[in-house]
Order: sequence, then structure tokens, then C-alpha cells
Amino acid sequence: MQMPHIQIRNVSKYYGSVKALHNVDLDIEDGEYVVLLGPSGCGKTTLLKIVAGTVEPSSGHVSLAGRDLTRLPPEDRGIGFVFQNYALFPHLSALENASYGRLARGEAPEKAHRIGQEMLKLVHLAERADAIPKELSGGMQQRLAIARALATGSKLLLLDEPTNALDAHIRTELREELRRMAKQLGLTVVHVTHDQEEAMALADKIVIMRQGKILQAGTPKEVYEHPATPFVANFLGEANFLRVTFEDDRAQLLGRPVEARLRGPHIACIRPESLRLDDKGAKIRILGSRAFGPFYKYDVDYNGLSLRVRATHDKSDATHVSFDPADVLYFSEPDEGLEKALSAV
Amino acid sequence: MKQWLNRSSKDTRWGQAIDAVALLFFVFFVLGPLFFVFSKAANLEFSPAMQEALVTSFGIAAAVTAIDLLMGIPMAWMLARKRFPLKELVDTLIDLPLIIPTSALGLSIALFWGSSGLGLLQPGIAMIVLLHIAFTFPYVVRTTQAAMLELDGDLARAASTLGASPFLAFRTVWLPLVRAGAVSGALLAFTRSLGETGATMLVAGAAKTVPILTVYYKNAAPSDLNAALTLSAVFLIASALIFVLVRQQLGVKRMRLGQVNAQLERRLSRLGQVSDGASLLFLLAIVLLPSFYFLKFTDLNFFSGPSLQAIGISFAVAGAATALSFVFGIPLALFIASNKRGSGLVKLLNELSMIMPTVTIGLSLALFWAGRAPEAVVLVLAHTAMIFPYFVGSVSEVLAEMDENLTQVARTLGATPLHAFRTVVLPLIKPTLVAGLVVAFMRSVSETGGTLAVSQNIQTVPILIVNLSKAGQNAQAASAAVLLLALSIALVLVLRWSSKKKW
Ligand SMILES: Nc1ncnc2c1ncn2[C@@H]1O[C@H](COP(=O)(O)OP(=O)(O)O)[C@@H](O)[C@H]1O
Ligand SMILES: [Mg+2]
Repeated sequence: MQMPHIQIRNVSKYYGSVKALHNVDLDIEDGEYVVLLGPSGCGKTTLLKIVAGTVEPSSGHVSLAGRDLTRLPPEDRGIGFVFQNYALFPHLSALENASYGRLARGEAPEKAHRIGQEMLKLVHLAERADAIPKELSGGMQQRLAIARALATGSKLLLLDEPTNALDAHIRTELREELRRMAKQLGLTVVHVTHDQEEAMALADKIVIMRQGKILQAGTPKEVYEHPATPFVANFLGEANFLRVTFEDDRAQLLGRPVEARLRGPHIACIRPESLRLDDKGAKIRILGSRAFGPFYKYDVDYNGLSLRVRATHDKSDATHVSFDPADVLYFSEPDEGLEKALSAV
Repeated sequence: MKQWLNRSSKDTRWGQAIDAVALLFFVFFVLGPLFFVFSKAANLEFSPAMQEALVTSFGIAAAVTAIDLLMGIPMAWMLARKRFPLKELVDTLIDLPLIIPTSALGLSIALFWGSSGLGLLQPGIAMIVLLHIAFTFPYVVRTTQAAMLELDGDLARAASTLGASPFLAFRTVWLPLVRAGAVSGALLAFTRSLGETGATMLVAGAAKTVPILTVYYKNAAPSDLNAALTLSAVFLIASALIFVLVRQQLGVKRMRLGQVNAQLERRLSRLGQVSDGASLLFLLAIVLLPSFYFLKFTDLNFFSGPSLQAIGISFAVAGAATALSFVFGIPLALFIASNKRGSGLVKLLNELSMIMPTVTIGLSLALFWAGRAPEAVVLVLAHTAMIFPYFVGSVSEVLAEMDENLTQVARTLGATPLHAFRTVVLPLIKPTLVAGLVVAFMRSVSETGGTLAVSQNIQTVPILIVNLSKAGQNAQAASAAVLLLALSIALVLVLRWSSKKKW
């Protein structure tokens, strides 16, 4: 069995003048569950397809367990791929879909079907072996696509927005199932999504992409707590951005002094849950509130700036907001301007 | 159900009136004249010569269809899924044989393969097969290509990530899923081959297909009319049977894979380029060059009075027939697409009208209209009956496939059905309407077999070409064909161009 250790080196892909990927570097370890996260159009699918071999990179290399894959056609790579819309074969039964990979490699039908049947059992579809894809529900189709990819014996699974077409509650269920299965079978998974909650729930490592580039890669905790750019901070959860100017390592933020070894204009980033609604600190006015069950969200006005605040209890009569300076992140002013730096494209 | 086609109660009466007019037109000007011939049949008898002609006709059609599929599917695959230099050009070239008047095509093929050209063949069955390939190949390529373009490319990519070689992916994924498209193209090719008369006469030599034998009986003596009718009836019934049987086989079928010889399929995959080359060579040497060979014989000195007059007549007839088809065809297409009661039957009858051999059509129309109207009017009505079913068929198919949500949205926004039709449906089907009109016009301009049967004194260009080439005046015939071709192309371009502008 192969040992997936994927190296993606300096990979670029151009479609005419569109830069789908630009100098991408990424390492994926054996047994790792990696989530590629980014807004739609940022190049996630392209990167996945380059690894699978169905798209050729304009430049750069991909290697698997030390072997250069770049010139290898997809049928010789042995990488399981679950397509964004599943791409199930509509004219084949669930069992024939699941056995396709084995049959394509010339395995005897009895053996191929036995393995296909095992895979169907693994994804709880053994009962529906004779159904054709359009007779299956969305969730079943997704599980069939996974069974089909796994039946080839591949230990590397590439998933392109596998939960996208599903209802919210089935999505959460399947997501957990996916991670459990991956860990149980010792799979290496690269999972693409544009849903940050899904990324946080699943990933050993989150890779955040924007405009064909990787902005940051790390554990969910790392990227949430130490986002590399304002875009990452904003894309993973919510964030308030405030302009500050440091002089002698000091600046004023929300009516109080803060310290950091910085000079000149910067952007301070505070998460909504790091702001406390109170009766001391900076004077604010509450503009709107919404109860979410386990927490509350407030829109507040501070000197004409609007802030988002999250609280665990009802704070509707608060008059001030305060924060712990240790929770504040500082970014230098992006060249393109803050608004541009936060937008997806 | 196509809800949007069901008019609300306020305009029900108008709607019913329109339906009624369209149906009456269809019955009295298309169906009636087309099938009139069978009411004249007295005692039917079936001779060995007829039997032989039937075998010849079906044999030729089968061979033509098989070759079309064999060479057309790889061609379609190449055009739909590969990139290569000059692809746009090849894509355009494929349709060209369709715009040549069939009689000119017959002349051209006879010249190319016969003693005036390569000298490889004498008129006969082989030449008929080559002629029929030239004008049916585009159908098979186009329908298969369209089916391939509609297919999700990820299906083939999925197969390859699962370890399938390109050939295996083609065989187990593409082919089963584009089958319906290929079969409907093949069906069209088959029926066109069965029914073609005018051009076939020019390359047949001593060979007798059913349409040729029918013409022979019709011309030999009025007493032989019965033989012609018998032949037409048997022929039509056999064609309709095949048509209906094959039609039922359409749609995606479940498939079982079975044992795969992975090594062999891999090796076959490497033949991809060989097959591409073969397809291109076939297109060039069997379809395009022979079809346009007649150009070599044109002589500008022969652009004479008779050919100019014939062109005027051809265009006038085609214009009138196309206009009639347009006016009455759209309501009928709407009726067929509406799933109202009886629409299924009308659809079937319309399809049957399409598979009728042109010579039978001509015979029937000549009998139906004989003495009832001036020859010019009969000519227009005959052409209308021949092109109307094609126009209705293509428009109703697009209407039936259209996303009805679009018009429903228009109606929730307050549009009346007529307004919804004008602002939502019409712009969406405009490309089909324009294409349908162009095809209808070109068919009328180049129609030979049926026209031969109804025309007595009035000569359209195809008739002129047949007469000239039968008299051995190839240069005159070729020149008339070139003139018609050039004017037709100009007209099509003008139509295309004007249709790009807003209505
Ligand atoms: N086959 C293609 N031809 C042209 N442009 C493409 C093609 N595939 C993707 N692109 C472009 O490349 C960019 C990245 O696309 P993709 O990888 O699909 O993004 P994502 O999966 O993150 O939504 C987009 O701008 C997209 O329009
Ligand atoms: Mg994508």
C-alpha cells in the first residue's frame, strides 16, 4: 500500500489570462485530514484536479510518496476522487458504480463485485446495490461516490465540496461520518469546502486560499487565533476591523491605550466574542440585537463605527464596551486597502 | 405538464381557435395531401422486382447508416472533446454538403467517382452508398456531438481517476450515455437514405431502389400506378415500423460491465490519433471533395436565361412554402408541446410525414392537387407539405424541453400568456426558429424527387439540373448548381445576420 505524502511544489495554472492557481506550495502528511477552504472561484477544485491528474498544471510539480506524478495520467495515479456533483455513472447500478474501479483494472467480476459490495456496506448502502443513482437520495449519492472512490483501494481521498448539495442536518451528520471513516481506515483526505464551520469541524489542517494562492495553513486553532491576514481573520468567523496609529509603541483603541511594538497606522482586529458589553469602557449605543439560543449577537455603534459583539447572556441594557488587549490582533494596512483585502475576488 | 401553455380561462377561446386553425391546416394541407395516394390504391400486388428494390433500398440505408456511425462517432468525439488546430474550420465544413441541392450533389458524386473524375466507379449501388453518406454523415455527427457536449465532462474524468484508460472510459461511459443522440441521428440518416430520389437517380445506373422503381412505374404507364402505390405503401409501412421500433430503444439504458480486458483497452487507447486522422481523411475524401467536385465543371458562360429563371422560381416557391410553414407551424408546435389531448397523436402523424419518401410525397401531392389549382400553387403547397413537418418537429422539441419555470416566473410577475410567450419563450427559441427556417428553405430549394412528380411546365433549379445532366450537359448543370448554391449561401448569411439583431 502506498504511503501518501503529497508534495505540491510551485504549481501554477492559467486558463488564458485567468490565473486559477499561482505558485502554490503545500505538503500533506500520511493520514492527515486536510481541508482546503476559500471563497468560490479561488482555485480549490483546480488544485484538487491537478493532484488527481485530470487537469495539467501550467507549471510546477506534484509528487506522491517521493514519486513525481506530474506526467502521469489520472488512471495510473490510484487516487480516489469524489467530484463536486458526484459524477456517478447514471447508467450503472450502485454496485456496478462501486465496482467500476476494480473492473477497469481488469479484476474478475466476482472479486470486483465482492469488494464493491463491501464498500457499499461500509457506507450503509448494501441494501440499495441494485438501484441506479437517480433512485438514490442526495446523501446516498454522496456516500456512493465515496464508496466508489474507496473501492479502488486508494488510501488517498480527494473530496470536492462533498456536502454541498445536502440539507443542513444531513450535512452535519455526514461530515462526522466522514471524519470517523477516514480515521478508522487510515485515509489521507483532502477535502474542499467554502464553509468555514465545516472546515473547523473536520480538519487536522486547514489551508486557506484566495485568488489562486494559499494564504495560510495550520491547525484550526492556529489559523483562528493567529490569522495571517485580515482576509483569513474575516473568512474564519467574524471580525471587527478598526484603524489605529502607533506612536512610541502606543495607540488608542476603543477609548483606551494599547501597547505593541509597532509604528504608524495599523489595523486592529477584534473578534465579536472578545468584546464585552458592560457599564465601563468605551461609550456605545446598541443598534440591534438577535438571540441565537446559546448566545446573543449585537450591532453597536461606537463614534459612528459599527461593531459586532457576541455575548453569552442578554446585555440589551449595556452602555459601554471593553476588551482585553491580549485578544487584539494587529495587521499592517494592506496595500490594496482594507475593503479590497477582505473581498473574495 | 407544460402549465404555461395552458391558457387561462379568459383567453381560452382565442387559444382554441388558434389550435383549431393550426390543426385544420395540418390535416388539409399536409397530412391529407401526403397520404391521399393510398386512397387510390385498388388491387395491390407485389412483384419480384418490387421485392428486389426493397432489399436494395434497405440494404443501402443500413450500409450507409453503419458507415456513418462508424466514422461519425469518432468525428463527433473529436469535435466535442478534443482541441486541435483548425477545429473551428472542420466544424463548419461538416454541414456544407447539406446546403448543396441534392441533385447537384448527385451530379458531383457521379462526376468525382466516375469516368470524368477518378474513374474508380460506375454508377451503381456503391455510388449510391457514397452519395447517401455525403448528405447523411452531417446528421450523425451533429446529433452525436450535441449529446456529447451536453454530457458532464466529470463523468469521463471520474472514470479515469478510477483507473479506466481513455478507450475504456469512452466505451463504458461516453458511448452508453450518448447512445440516444447517436441513434436519433442514425435514424434520420436511415430514413433520408431510404427516401432520397432526385440525386439517387443520377448515380444509380442500373440499380433500382424503391423510389427509383416508383418513379419508373409512375412514368411508364398510368396503368402501372397501382404498382407504384403498392410499393409506396409497403415501403412506408416498413420504414414506419423500423422508425417506431428504434424510437422505443432511445433513452439511457442500464448497462452491465462484465469482464474488462484492461491491457487490450489500454492498447486501443493509443490508437486515438490514428482514429482522429482516419475521421478527418474520411470527411475530406469521402464527404467533402466528392460533394464539391462539380465546382470544377462550372463555366461562367452558362449562366444563361433558363437557369436565372429557374432560380427565380426556386426562390419564390421556397419563400412561400417557408412562410406558410412558419405561420402555421408555430401554433402546431405549441400544441404538440402542450401535452393537451391529442397532441401525442399529432406528434406521431407529424413524424410519419417526415419519413415518407419524397417520390411518394410527390406522387400523392400530384394526385391530390391535380386540376384543382394552378401548377405554381400546387408546387408551393407540395413544398409546404414536405418542409412543414421538419419545422414543426424541431420547434416542438425545443419547446418541450424548455424550462417551464421561466415562463411561470414571467407569469407571477404579471405577464399574460401571450406576453410571456413573446418576451420569454420567443427569444429563447429564436435560434431554433431561425435554424428551422433556414433548413426548411434549403430543403425546399434543393428538393428534387417530389418536385419531379408535380411539376409539368415549371422548372425549378433541381429539375433543370436533372434534365441537363441527363442530357449530358454537365457544365450547364454544374453552373446552374453553383448559382443556386451561391445565392442560397448569401441568403442564409443574411438570415443569420439579421436574426442576431433584436426582433
Ligand atoms: N476549464 C476552465 N476554463 C477556464 N477557466 C476555468 C476553468 N476551470 C476553472 N476556471 C477558472 O479558474 C478559477 C478557479 O476555479 P475553481 O478551481 O473551479 O475554483 P473553486 O473550486 O475554488 O470554486 C475560476 O476563476 C474559474 O472561473
Ligand atoms: Mg469548486
